[in-house]
Amino acid sequence: MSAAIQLEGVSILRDGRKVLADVSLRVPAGETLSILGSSGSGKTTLLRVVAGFIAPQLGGVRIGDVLVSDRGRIVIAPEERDVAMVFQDLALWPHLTVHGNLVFGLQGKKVPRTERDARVAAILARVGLSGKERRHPGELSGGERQRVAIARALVLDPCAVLFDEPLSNLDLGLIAWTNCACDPICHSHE
Amino acid sequence: MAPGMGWAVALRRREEALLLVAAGVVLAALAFLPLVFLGGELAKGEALRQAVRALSAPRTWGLFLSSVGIASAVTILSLGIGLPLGVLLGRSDVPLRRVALWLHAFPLFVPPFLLALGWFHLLGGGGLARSELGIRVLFSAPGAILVLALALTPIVTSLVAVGLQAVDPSLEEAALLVAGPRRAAARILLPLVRPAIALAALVVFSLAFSELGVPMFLRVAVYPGMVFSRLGGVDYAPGEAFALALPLFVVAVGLLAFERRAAGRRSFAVLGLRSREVPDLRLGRWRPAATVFAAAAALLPFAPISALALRAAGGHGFVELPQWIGSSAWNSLFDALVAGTFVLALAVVIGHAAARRRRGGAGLDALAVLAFVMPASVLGVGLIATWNRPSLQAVYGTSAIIALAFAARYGAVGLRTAAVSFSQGSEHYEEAAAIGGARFLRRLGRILVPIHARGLAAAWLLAVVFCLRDLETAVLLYPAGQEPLTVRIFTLEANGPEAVVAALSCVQVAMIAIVLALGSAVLFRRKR
Repeated sequence: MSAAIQLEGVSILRDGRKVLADVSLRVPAGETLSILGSSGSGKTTLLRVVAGFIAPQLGGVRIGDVLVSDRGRIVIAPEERDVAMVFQDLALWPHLTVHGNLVFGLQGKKVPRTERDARVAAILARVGLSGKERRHPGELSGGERQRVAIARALVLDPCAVLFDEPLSNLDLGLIAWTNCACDPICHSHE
Repeated sequence: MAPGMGWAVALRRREEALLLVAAGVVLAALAFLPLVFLGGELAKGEALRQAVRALSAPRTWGLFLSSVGIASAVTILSLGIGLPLGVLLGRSDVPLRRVALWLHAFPLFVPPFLLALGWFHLLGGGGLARSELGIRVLFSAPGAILVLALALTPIVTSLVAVGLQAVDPSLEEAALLVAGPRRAAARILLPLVRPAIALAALVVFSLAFSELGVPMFLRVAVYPGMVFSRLGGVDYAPGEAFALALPLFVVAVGLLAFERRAAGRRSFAVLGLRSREVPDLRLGRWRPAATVFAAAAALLPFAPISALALRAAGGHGFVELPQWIGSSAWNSLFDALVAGTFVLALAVVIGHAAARRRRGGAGLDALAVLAFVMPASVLGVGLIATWNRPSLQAVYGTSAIIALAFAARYGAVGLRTAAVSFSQGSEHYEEAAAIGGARFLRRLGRILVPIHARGLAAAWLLAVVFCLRDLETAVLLYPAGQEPLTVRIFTLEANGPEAVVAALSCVQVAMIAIVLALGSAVLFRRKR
């Protein structure tokens, strides 16, 4: 089975210290992988390497069959990798509405307007935010913002979604909701 | 894929790098090329002989040391007043401290020689106080130091106050558990804003060392005045001017080294305008005395401005104003708006690169800072050497040269303000846009600029106001008939009617106040 994401001997050095040392892993398409580790162990760095924000000094990264990073070089820029990411601080653009946040990536991909609106409406219905399209992130609760961030990642229909500590700022109720909600949503995007 | 398409895709993939290279080339052409041409002028045989003669004269070095002494004294005095005032107006429970900070900061945006003119009208023989001693002190080196210190202290006060507001309140609260407010301020808060203090000291020294208007009006001989006289006065000798600019260039490089060591990138982190409320430092029994000190600091700068207004009104200066003002006010505004907009365009690209530590960002930031700390006479002489040639009269013979000079000199003001704004916003906003498929120009237009609109507007406003208050750069370069208002006042001051000069000064102050008020209204508009 071909891997959606593959890391081969990835090493990251920072100030002479190895943040990641010779990491190799394969994530087959359709599978979920959780990376656990103590604070400062390099979990976020690993995700940023996959997303293309950091080039590994050693080793390479493949997405599908394409070599996207290779020994200190970003071969394919983040905007061309077809992966999505939910950031730890969510990074919802404060000046755009919920609709604006979701539609931004689709506009870049030149998705026709009618299809864009349909996809945004469908994903908002899935995360239970229908009717809040015109709100700005500042007008939403913490849990609603979390759901917008997840919807923004999934609406692009990417080949992989990267979650950076998606549950760290949530209370127990929202953690349970996110776990339940993400599972069927993610599987429907396989 | 067609070959042309391949190039287009390759260019689009490198949008950020290409834009940074373009901005860097423009900045280098503005700020670095003049230094190269300055060196080229000196390499010529006759100029080199003049340079050796000028630089071997004892008077040259006596004046140089005297100017360094004046600038150092201004810096020490400004720090002595501005540090405690920064704590009081930035974090203490002094009443109306924000209003007091605004009032105190206003003279920073007024050309210092107008304040000197105002003090003359306040203290002089025909003035309100009619103090013989006062006028003797004013027209001396200590007088110039006092005038400049009062004009430039707001730089220290503002940077310290804003820096203190950006300190994490928990650090202060941890100190307050084991120490009183004064000890917490002295041992914890002030050391935390050390980069801001270093930056303030650097800016005050640079501006004081570069200052031409105040010492020339107060008849105090200074080194930049000597360079100026070789370019525009009876001692016309451009070769000597190029030579005399050399020691100033060495000082500028020294100041840049100091800035890199003491403040540098760390100043990005402490200068931001945080909106978060932090608790005030309680002054207890010191509050009444502190209130008097703060009130004096807020109101004192308005004494010379009021004296100017009274002198203008008393001598019918406002009535005669239309005969004398010409197009100078419009020239000032036009040059400042063009230069400010130009600075903003550079600041968005280079400020972003500096804040996000892109390759080349730190180097371009250093170049912009070098142009700012470099005495205006060096930059001016370099620009003359670069642009004063027959084929370039479309630039040198028009107000374009002033806009370019302003952009070179005050680029750092806009660039640093933009960098502070970018560095305080989460990098994840841009990364989320990148991973959503947006290339750099789209990220810039749709995400970065709207999110940082307020910070970028502040960068533009500060650049415009610094250009509006400039005398030192413009006086060396203004084309005939297109002088800005500061230059018109400066040239009329020697033999024009006093009341008219005072009235023109009032117009200059009013123009800056209006620009600041409009800009502030936009900046502090309620935000969603």
